[in-house]
Amino acid sequence: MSHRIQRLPLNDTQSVLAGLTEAGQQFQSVHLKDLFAQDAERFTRFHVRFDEVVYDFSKHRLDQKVLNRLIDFAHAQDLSGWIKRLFSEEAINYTEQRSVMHWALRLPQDDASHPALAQQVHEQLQRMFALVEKIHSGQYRGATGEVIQDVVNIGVGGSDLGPLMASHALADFRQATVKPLNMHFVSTMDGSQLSELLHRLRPETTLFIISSKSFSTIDTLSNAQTVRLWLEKALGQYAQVLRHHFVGVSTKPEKMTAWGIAPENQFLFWDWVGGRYSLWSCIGLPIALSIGVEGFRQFLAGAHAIDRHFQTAPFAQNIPVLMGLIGAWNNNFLDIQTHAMLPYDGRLKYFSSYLQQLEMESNGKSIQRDGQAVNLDTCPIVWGEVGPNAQHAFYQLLHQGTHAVSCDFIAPVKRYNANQFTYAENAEALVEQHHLALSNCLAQSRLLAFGNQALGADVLESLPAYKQYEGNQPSSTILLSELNPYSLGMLIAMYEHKVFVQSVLWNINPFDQWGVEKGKEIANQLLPLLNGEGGNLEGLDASTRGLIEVLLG
Amino acid sequence: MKVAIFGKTLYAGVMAALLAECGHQVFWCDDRLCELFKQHFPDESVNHLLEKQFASGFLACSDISTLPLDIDVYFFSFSPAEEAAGLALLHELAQRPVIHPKLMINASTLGLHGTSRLRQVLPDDDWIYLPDIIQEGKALNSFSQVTQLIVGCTDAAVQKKVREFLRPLFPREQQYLFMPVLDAEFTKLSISGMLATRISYMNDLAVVAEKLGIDISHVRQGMAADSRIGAAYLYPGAGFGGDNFSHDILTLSDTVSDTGVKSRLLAQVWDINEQQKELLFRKLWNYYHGDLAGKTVAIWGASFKENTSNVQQSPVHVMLKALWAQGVTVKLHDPQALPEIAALYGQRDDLVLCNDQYEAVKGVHALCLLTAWKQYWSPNYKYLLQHMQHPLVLDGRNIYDPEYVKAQGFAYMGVGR
Repeated sequence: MSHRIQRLPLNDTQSVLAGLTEAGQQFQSVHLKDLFAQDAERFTRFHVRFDEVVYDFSKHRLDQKVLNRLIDFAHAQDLSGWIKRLFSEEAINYTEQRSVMHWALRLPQDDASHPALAQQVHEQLQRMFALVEKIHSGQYRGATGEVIQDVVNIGVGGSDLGPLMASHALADFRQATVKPLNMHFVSTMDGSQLSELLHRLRPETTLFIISSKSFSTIDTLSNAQTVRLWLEKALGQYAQVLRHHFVGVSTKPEKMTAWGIAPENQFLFWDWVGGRYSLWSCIGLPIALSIGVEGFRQFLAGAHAIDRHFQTAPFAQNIPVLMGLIGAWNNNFLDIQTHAMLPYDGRLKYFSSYLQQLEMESNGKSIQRDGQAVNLDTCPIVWGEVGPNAQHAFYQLLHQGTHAVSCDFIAPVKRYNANQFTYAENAEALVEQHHLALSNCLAQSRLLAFGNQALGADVLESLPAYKQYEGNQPSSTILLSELNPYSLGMLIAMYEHKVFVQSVLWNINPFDQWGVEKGKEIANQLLPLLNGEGGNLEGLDASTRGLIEVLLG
Repeated sequence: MKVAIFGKTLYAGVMAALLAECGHQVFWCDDRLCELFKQHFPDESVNHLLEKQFASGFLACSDISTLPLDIDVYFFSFSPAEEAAGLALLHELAQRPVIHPKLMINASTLGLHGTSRLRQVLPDDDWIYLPDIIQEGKALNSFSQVTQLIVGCTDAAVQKKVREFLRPLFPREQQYLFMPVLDAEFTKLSISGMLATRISYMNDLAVVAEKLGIDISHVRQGMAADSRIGAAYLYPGAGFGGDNFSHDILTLSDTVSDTGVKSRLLAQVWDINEQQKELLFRKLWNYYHGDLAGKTVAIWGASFKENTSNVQQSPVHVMLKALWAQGVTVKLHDPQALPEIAALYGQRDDLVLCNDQYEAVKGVHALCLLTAWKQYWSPNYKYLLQHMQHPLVLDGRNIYDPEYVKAQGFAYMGVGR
């Protein structure tokens, strides 16, 4: 099919959009229950199975014609060409003059298409793996010779959310270590996590990872400075204290050196890795520490499998492409402005915050690549929570509120099946709990889609208005054969490429984040005022001036 | 009486020798029948007494098939690792046309319920538990001179048999402390636990003493002088080892936590000891500011204690792993245990086995003493000074006089001094 459509000229975007707008208006009055009633084969038609993933998009408000038009939209925007450009060294992050090659981080070591990149990447990975194995074997030592038993990752944004999310998600795959090993994450600039953490740790047995792409992020450096003082107070101000208790991950070796990170403890990645795409690099050190070297390799392999799939599968069978197109359909043509992530697995607790950064920092833009304002809405509001808990929180609004919301339900098919030491003793009871979660996952997507229809006919007759369900809230369901390092790698890469697909549809650059830069500058101007180091209140607005006066007492 | 002894532990050797000496007809059953004569325990007096009994005819080798059917007492002493083999042996015994009940003595260290696991194979016999209280180095006396013998046995008729059986060694009634089998098994573990606790307590104090500039040896002597405490098991050092002892502590610690009792004491006793095993490494690390790559270190002593070639749970393993992980080459000497070490670690570039203790110190950046073999007590300091690359002595057993060693021109570090 893709060959037929590729023949469409590029300037056809306008006519494709017009067709989609018309279809969107038509589908405003089409209910999912009718779409299912009309087509007994709907699930068969509208799901894709690839490797460890099943992507079911049959509960979306579309039909084959709409899907074809969406694929036309992708071709009109030259998605194929853009995918080729993504998987090249071209500087497609044009506002920062950088190429975008997070996919290179998961190339196999012997990759024939990009041997130099693969070698560069694996050199750092090997160094990281050696460190991981030394820590796991209980032979990484602090300044006093005691074995490191606590590792604290200090980072923010991409240097925090990704490692935190993945370490949590893969808790069941935790590598057994010779000595107990605990991972901690510190991010907030106000020191909240540190103040709660430091008094429980021993300086002698604690290793800090300072993760910062630029090694100039103030949030991270302020936390790093606090722990450095904490260590030096206990162990003295010696070079070997820094050498044995700090590891740095950054693209800036000279800045790490200046801070005091020993050269052998510096792990590098590159300008061509965006912060929110960096968990595949040495930024993923906390993940490797949790799941071990082999686990991390699996994690990379899963993402690489999606890279291959994204580049080769026809659009109609291409999961990231379909995710992106359907997201745009909901957002741009059905006017559904928010999108909820609902994993039915407590291990994916941080998945929605992770995706908030991935989607909203990438596609929260309003200027096209040609400098013009966008003519379609871009990234929707992305939010979410672990499904079973959210059922007791915001599902009421999904079912009976006035907002249209699209949802992604995510669940593993099997769980508690690997005899892992963490749950092995209680596996039987836990498996039943997993089935309970799955049944709730299916029930909710069903009720959202079909509304009253999902209830029995006998119940319906006597139902008062306040017990009615309108339904017609669209959702995707993503099933993983199990949540393991490989399938999590797949899942994350699916969303990464979905985001890219949408950026192509909207003609925006998803790889910069100029919107978060300015605030940092203004904060730097205000800090001297709050520190009582003087400065001029005159130029400020009345509100800020008033608040500063309160803060200064 | 006719006694059959099963097992190759030191306890089995001691009992074979002592029982034969006092007139019992002892049959020692072992799958390595002919090897028995060559079996040398790490205790000269035991070996000597065994030879004598073999010569006098009261002690003989046998195997199950030739064992007389009218044996009165069966004595089983298996190490923890031999439980499965021991059970198989009992099944073989069960096939024999023996008239039950016989007196069955479990003298193995199999943890709690060990005796009842053995009893399940031969349920018609009279089973008792006789804990292993043998101390290496003074094996015969540690049994024969015990003030009160703990026996897991509550049946009065069986107790009578036990007393008759051991009458030549323990003639008086008050020399027996009878209690239920499980209680006796727990007592045995508790004794090991108490001893380990004393050692770990001393090691804990040693760390503090070191920071305060106190010599723990003085503290130890003072404590030993108090009759309520006594001198045994008060030596701080590079950690206790040995398979039976270590096995007891772990079994006891697991037992405590399995019962849901909230006690961390034994786990900490164990942890402190594991920490202690790498104490010398940490001193070395500190001395060289964590910069050990490429250095060479001599270790004297690999066995878990002197006068044995046993390296099970010895601190040497922890030391080797820690040193190798930092890229250190180790030159190791031990009077007896080198074959065990070679078998465990094979040929590797960062391990040099030396048959001469002075060969081991050539060109090293430090000498670590791990086992207090007598031949290490008075080294040729002048030779050490001339041949070591750096004169650093780490004394894991506090066998040297710190002042004297320092006066010879060495940097010296002991445990808690």
